[in-house]
Amino acid sequence: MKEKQESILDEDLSFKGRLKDIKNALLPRLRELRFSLYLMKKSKISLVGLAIVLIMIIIAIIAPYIATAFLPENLLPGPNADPMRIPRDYSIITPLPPGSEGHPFGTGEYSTDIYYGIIYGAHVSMRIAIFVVGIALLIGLALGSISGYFGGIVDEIVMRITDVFLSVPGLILAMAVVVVLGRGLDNIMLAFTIVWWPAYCRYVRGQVLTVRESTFIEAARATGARDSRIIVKHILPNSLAPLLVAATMDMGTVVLVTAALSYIGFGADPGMAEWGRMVSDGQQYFIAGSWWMVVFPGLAIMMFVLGFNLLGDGLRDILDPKLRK
Amino acid sequence: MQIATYIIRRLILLIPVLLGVSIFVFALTRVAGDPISVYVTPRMGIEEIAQLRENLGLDESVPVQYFLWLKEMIINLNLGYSKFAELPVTECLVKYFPATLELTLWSMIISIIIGIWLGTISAVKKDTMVDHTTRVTSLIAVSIPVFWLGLLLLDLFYYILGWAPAPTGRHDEISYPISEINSYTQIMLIDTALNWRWDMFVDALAHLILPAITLSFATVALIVRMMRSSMLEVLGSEFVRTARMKGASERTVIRRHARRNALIPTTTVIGLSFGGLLTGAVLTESIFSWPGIGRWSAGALLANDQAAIVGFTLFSAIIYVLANLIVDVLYAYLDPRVRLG
Repeated sequence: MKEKQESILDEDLSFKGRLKDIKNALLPRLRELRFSLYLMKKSKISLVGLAIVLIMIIIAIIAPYIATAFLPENLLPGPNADPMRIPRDYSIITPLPPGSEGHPFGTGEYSTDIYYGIIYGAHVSMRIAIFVVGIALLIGLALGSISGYFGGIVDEIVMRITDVFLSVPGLILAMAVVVVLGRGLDNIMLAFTIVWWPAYCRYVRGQVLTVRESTFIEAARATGARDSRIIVKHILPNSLAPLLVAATMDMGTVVLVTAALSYIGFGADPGMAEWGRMVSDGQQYFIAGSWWMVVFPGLAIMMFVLGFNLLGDGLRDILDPKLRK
Repeated sequence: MQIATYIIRRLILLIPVLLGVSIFVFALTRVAGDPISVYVTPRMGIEEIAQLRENLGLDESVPVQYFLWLKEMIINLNLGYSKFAELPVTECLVKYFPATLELTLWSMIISIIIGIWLGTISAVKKDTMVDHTTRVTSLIAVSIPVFWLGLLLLDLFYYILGWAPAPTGRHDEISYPISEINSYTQIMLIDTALNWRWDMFVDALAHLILPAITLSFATVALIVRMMRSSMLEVLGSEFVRTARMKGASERTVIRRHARRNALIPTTTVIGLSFGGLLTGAVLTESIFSWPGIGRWSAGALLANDQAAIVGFTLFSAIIYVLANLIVDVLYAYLDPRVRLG
């Protein structure tokens, strides 16, 4: 008899009970998600953005397999070849226009295959965007939440540092870093990470300052929650939405500025599968009438950036509680 | 009076920020290798270099070196020697900045006029075809790479249509040598007009149009977006309803009541977009051979000319913070609710 009573009391802690708890906790979130998806379905702009972004992600993932799809067999890169380097056909003397056999987007300077460059360029751009935005977000989240939550001298120091970084336009500061680090795509990635985090840091700090004063944080503190738990569990989730919008749009902006440095000639080497570099490689031929060398890589950059901008623009409307009703 | 003290206080607050920028770039140059290379000119001998190392105190500890470097920069305006341009960096800035100022100035004016105009129309005709077109176009405009747009415009209007002059800089030196006019402002459009040389004015204008359009494209889009959203906010407010109720015509409501108030938040975006213009100038000037600091810095970057890039970075920082200061003052002027302090 006594045993049974105990088991009833313990029932909530059993596996099934816990599952129910989790279900109950997740239900409102699920409803929330469904509502967001519904709002998204209604906004055509964000759907178009989402479609472009998804296509770009898929191309970026399968790029190593489909980039060589049309190449004639003698041009296929060997197993040890650098995939960044676009395969060349030395037998071609005048550039081939789009639609040529083996080269659906035509050939570029050094007789490179434009199709390979466009496809593999998506892979390269996505990697750069994820790296720069990801690392900058992590630094910004960590420093911004610490700075906003604790205030005082820590806050003062971090904010003065961000002041300095934000007083120079990003690309120009990145140029200063890159001239020291030396040429190359990896160094450009590093340079942009160094100049990108302060904006997120400032943003997170501002959000934390607003959220910190709300009643539910006071309640959490009253229950004896530790600082780290309050920051991670309560403050950050409540300041994430606008940050998500900014990060989405920045995915595009990072690719745009990387392409710019690459176009100047400071990123990838000539003949590499990087869109900015391809525009710069093709520009002399462009004047002579070989439009495909410049138009295709430029369009690729534009679509990539536009996709993330449209998605971010739509997300802003969806996540803004004032606009949701 | 109040504005004067505000400006002075803001200027004083800028000093630590600019010092911070100088510490950052100084630290960067120390990471890179022997700092003496910044000061060496090709004409120097080995003994001269050793002498210079001692004069500049490069045998001292790093913090001492920083202060010496700063002192040299502030007192003698010595930023080192630009290998790429074969000139001292300070002289490069003086020589190349007017061209950049001209380009960014006119681009800014184009952006502000078109941006405010389109943003207002888009908000007033919300959810019509005009509005949708403007919104989508402005999103496309911020997604276009500046260098690509410049190349396309150049190809279309110079090589194919032949309407634009060759991208040779600010004017046609052979037909209209610069020595024929007196220079007052270093801004060609103004100088040629002051000299009453309208043939040169037209030439300078023709050279300016394509780069200015290229550069202002993204800025227009930013201003349109901001103008549209703040205009929508204002149009929904009580005082606009009151104005309508009084029987004011729609035109008066928009011009006198709504647009004036919507301009206030837009000024902030205009200040911030100045950074975008400076950045865009690096690319636009490279494409159109515009003899400004942007093209110089792009070339210096490729030539691994550190002194030039350090000078360019510091200079951009100064311009950028000053531009934002001017915008803040304007903001306070436009919006009497803002208390300076």
